[in-house]
Amino acid sequence: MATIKGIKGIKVQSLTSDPTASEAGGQLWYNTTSSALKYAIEGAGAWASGGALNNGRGQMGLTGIVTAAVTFGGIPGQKTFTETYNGTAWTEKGDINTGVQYNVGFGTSTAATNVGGVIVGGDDTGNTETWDGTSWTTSPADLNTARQKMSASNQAPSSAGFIFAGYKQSPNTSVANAESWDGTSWTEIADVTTAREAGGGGGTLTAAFLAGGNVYPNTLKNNTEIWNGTSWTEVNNLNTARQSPGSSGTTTSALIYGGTDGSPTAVTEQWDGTSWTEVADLATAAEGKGKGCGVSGDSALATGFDGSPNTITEEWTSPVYSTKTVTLS
Amino acid sequence: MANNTYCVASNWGKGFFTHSERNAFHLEGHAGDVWVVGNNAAGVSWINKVSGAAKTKVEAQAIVDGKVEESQTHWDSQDAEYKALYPRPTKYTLS
Repeated sequence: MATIKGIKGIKVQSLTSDPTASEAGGQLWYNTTSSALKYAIEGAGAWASGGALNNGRGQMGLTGIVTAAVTFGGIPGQKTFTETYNGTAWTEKGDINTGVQYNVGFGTSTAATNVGGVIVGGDDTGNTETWDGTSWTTSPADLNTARQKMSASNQAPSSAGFIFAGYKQSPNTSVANAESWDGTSWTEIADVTTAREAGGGGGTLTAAFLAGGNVYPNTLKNNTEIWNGTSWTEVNNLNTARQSPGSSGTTTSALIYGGTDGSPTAVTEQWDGTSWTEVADLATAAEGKGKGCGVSGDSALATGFDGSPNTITEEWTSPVYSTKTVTLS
Repeated sequence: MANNTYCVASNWGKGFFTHSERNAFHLEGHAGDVWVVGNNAAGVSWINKVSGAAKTKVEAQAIVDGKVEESQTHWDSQDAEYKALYPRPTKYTLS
């Protein structure tokens, strides 16, 4: 009988169990338990179902990473719910002090800032609350411009982040203002170039992006702007103009997913620092209420699905490794 | 022409569909827990895994249409600001 060692002069490793596919990419081995020759390959990025929220909702604040996230507020109504995620399951935690929707946040699952949105009664708010992993504390400092549907540097620390763009009532208009947070107060910084609401955003106080959105009342945008800590620069557009997408990542590696492009979309686009490329769709179109977080374009968490807010979440991983069995004749 | 099959299954969360499964067959989730599933061995295996209730395309479409009609009723009850920002949900055809 011919052997690989006899033919190629190399020996195939023998293992009693399969290694984790992501750690064995490109490797070949013989599984002595199942008597099968196997290999692991790298495949395209994909969405998988994540843990179900305890309280279904949309348009809430969300920040952190896929394995350690926190979500707060949301619709319907102005929710006070706070839940944390450990990569497997969501756990209910202490409520925010003021129920809110269309709010945003930045920071981590143990230290986050929640800001802006719409409070009970329908007014825009500049209300700011900080999270210590257990409870929320209302800050005496509000945003200079109360607003909703902002974007945020959701990979920034809770004491050094910023929010940008958005929408305000009285009068109804999309806004370009950006404001930075130092843990104590908000400071106006350079405006985004194209005022808009409900865009996708991410990054930090010194490197952030804003992509897509809507100019009130109803003009969808595909523009992308990059923040370098001082000013905004227009870069390559999204392939699909949309508002209210989920978003994650930084200026060099980011992901935009879901939202509304006139109708709910599942389209996902990945940013490599230069351009957007369409990749695998969400399993469920996000009905304009998608929210997301994540550290890069390779790892993201999507929540807030469906026309009626839902408990569904999805997790993005790129690349996806899988184990294959060699069929021998 | 898409070669799909249809089922109803409730998404229980983590593990309902995996990254590897998403790369092995086409999968779309719709209102009413309707799933459009690529008609190959991996897709059929997934339907069995999630105990999906098989539907014809006509049956699946009727469920989705009913949910869209519910969303339309909700949209019709909203104020002008909401209607200015969000388009009225419309029916669409499953692939």
